[in-house]
Amino acid sequence: VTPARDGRSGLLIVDDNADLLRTLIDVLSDEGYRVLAASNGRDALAALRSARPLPCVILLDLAMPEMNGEEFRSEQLRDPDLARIPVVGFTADPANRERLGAMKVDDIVPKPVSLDHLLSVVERYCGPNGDTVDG
Amino acid sequence: VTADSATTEKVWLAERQIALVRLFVVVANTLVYLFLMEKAGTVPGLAYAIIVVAFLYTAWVLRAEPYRRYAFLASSYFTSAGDTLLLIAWIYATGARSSPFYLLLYISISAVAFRYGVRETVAAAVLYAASYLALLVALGQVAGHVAEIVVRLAYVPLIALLSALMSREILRQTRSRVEIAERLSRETRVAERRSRFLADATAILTRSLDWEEISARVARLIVPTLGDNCVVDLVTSDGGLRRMAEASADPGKEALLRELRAFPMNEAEGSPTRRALATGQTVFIPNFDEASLRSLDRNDAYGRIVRAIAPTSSVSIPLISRARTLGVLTYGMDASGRRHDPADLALAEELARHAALAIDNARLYRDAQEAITSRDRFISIASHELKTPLTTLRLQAEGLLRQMGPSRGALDPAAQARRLTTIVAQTARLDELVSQMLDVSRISAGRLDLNLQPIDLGAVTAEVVARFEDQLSRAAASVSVSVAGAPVVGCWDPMRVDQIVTNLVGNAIKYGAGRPIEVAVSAGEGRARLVVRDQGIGIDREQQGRLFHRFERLVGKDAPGGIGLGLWITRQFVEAMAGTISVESDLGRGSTFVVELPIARAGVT
Repeated sequence: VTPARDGRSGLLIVDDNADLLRTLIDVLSDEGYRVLAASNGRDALAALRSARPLPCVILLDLAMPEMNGEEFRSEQLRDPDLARIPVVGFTADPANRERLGAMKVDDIVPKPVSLDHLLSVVERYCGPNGDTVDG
Repeated sequence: VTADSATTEKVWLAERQIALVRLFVVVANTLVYLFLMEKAGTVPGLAYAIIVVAFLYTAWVLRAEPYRRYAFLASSYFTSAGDTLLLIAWIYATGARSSPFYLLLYISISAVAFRYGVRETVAAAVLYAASYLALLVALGQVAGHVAEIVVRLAYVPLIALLSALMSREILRQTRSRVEIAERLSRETRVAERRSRFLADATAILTRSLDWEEISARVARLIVPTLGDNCVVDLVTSDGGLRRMAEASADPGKEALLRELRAFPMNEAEGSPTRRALATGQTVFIPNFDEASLRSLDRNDAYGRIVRAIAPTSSVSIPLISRARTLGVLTYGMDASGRRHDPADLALAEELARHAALAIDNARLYRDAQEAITSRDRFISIASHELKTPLTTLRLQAEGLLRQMGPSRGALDPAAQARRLTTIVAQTARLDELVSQMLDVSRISAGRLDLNLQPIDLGAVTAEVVARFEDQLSRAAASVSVSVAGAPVVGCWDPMRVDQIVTNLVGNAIKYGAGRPIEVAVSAGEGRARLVVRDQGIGIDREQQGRLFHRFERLVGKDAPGGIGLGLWITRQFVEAMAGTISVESDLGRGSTFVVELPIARAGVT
């Protein structure tokens, strides 16, 4: 059973830009997803460890203070529980593709991204919108 | 030694030729005499004996190489004495006073005058005249012929004198002709060598665009052609000197020269290298004595190495290109004791010019490469930085559009307003980024025009801080502004001052970890002072030096957004208004930025 099929799971978004984070929460909540947000890797790990059920996908920025995307990913893979959660890299730099490849992310979403593209990627991991609305 | 033996060789060859000529003359005279007399029977037997003796004598001169067996002078007297004996005997055999062969005396004295110096010629003249007179006196042929005999004898020194003068003149002319020819050929050789050397040097030097390699090649060109040892020092970006290359004809000394690299260059004030650098002129020390050695002394270890190399002379030539001194080429002699001839010095200076050009080219190439890399990096960073607000903008706008579609519940006005505000904030951020990029390109192109007018620094600061109110409340931070004493008014560019304060306060909020920020404005000693102090993450001491450089976002690639240009732009603005900016910071304990602007500039517009 993937977390996405669990009726109450949500997404985790990790990005250090407050405006972007707020916007992602806005547009994904509009579609009925439950959204967890963290502004760096450390906060994201803390959020994951207290989140039950686990999120269906993690949308991960690379460049962040305190703990960056790579460090977060290796921490995540070290924890067998968390390792199963698919990760989508979210980057503005096409040159980061190699970096993301080394991190073994499941998917890559470029910045800027269209809302349709973003939603289709999220739907791939979390199922169609509305199903997971948690209030 | 070589020249002397060559001279001896020439003299000896001449002597052999003269011996042959002498033999020819004796034989020819004999035949003439026999022919004229038409009475072979009357020739005395002694004459035939003398012809035989002359043959033997000549054979002896030809075979025995007297110039190798006797000293030069002894030999000359010996041959003169031999000649005299032969001549007098011949004259006696052919009739003494009535012999026509007294003329042989003149030929012989002429030969002596040509071959030898004054003393030998005088000796030979006395010998000939005395022997001839003695013969005639002994035979009792003087009486009644005194006048004739005196004339014959007088001709001997006269011909000797004329021959000596002629020989001297011929010698002088020959010598000067030889000298001119030798000088010309030497000069041609030197010129050829120079031009070949320079052509090779240019080919070698222009083959590289790496100044370290060029320096090494220069050193290799100098040694051993122009000097026994050579070092090349180049001026570094901070104005110091750095040893780039060393070479020595002696591998052991080359290793010693390399050891000198361990000593910092900037201590050697007053050294020839330093003097060449300061004056832009060649410093030539033909005799490297104890005082010159001491001028290099920096400490005992250094002195020991220099004394082990034992230089005897040194030439320090500044490497100048486009009126800038790029470094110094120093070379010299040691144990070989060779001298520097002026042509070699000129050649070394020419080489230094070529080397400076090659080094300058390498530098220009490096600068151009760096400018290209830096621009590429700037474009790359800037475009990534633009993408974040664009992402927000696009998602927010598309999200709102989607909400306006059918089968969607309308958003409440407050949520709509908040989301539209986010969109507006993104356009502001984009505007800021684009302005920064324009500032950078303007500063890089040197087109930073200032619009100076009297402004109140305290008022501008208060205005900027007020503009941050929203951001401050979101960051839950506070900024206190204090102005000491009277308003601080100076003549500055209001827009740039606004940007300076905005950048510093913005940074303090961004990196201030939400703790209180203090901004203070004061004036003193003709300068306005703006201090922005935060208690945030701080800056590593090591990194503080690079802080105001382009693209230095110190916290690294994962720090809060920004192109890393803010502080660089700030410094450019501050410096454009003749001010200074500095930072004091400790990691984890916050940073204090201090900007000082001259108030006295008020008069300048």
